[in-house]
Amino acid sequence: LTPNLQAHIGRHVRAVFDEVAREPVPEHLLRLLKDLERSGDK
Amino acid sequence: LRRKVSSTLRDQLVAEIGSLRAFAVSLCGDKERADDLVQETLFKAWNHLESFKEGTNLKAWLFTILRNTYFSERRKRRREVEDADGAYAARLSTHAEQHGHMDMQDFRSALSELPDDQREALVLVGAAGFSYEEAAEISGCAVGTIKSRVNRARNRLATMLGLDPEETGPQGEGLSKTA
Repeated sequence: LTPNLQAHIGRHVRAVFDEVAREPVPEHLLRLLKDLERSGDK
Repeated sequence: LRRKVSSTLRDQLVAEIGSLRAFAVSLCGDKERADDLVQETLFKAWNHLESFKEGTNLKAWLFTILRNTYFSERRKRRREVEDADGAYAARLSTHAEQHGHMDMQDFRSALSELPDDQREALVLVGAAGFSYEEAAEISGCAVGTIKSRVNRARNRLATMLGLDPEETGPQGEGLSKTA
């Protein structure tokens, strides 16, 4: 593949990935970390 | 000790959740399941913090836990998972043929149809920002294996999407399809 085509594909892979990565973190995952932190303090 | 470490470490873990979710979705193709995977990963990471060497790559460590969790669960319930994957791929692939040009949905479908190991390698190196060496460590294989998986993934995507491998332009958005 030409470098240009590789770059095209690369941009699309990143776009698919970033679309999810940039979503706000679901509340229940943040809560899990808080709970773990609290239980670690016992 | 744990208490002292925990608030900064918690911030660092939170900072990686977005990437972990994106990686999980790329592995399993399903957001709900991806969130379960991330949850399990965070739980395991927290309970094995003593095995994480501070100052080393936290992101790579988390990605390793997530992919190992995914693949070991997948082995456990292979039949069930294969059915689900088949249905998922079928649902996505119908979409790609409805458009003359390549859009993000076409690309997503093609990506989902790559063999697991190729998709994983491409996402780790091409999107998650890992070096070939880091990706090899995460996937538990040789650097050369990762390189060849990434190459095969790109070539396969180009074929699936009908892209000209000699393509040199245009620079614009979107990939043009060969006639």
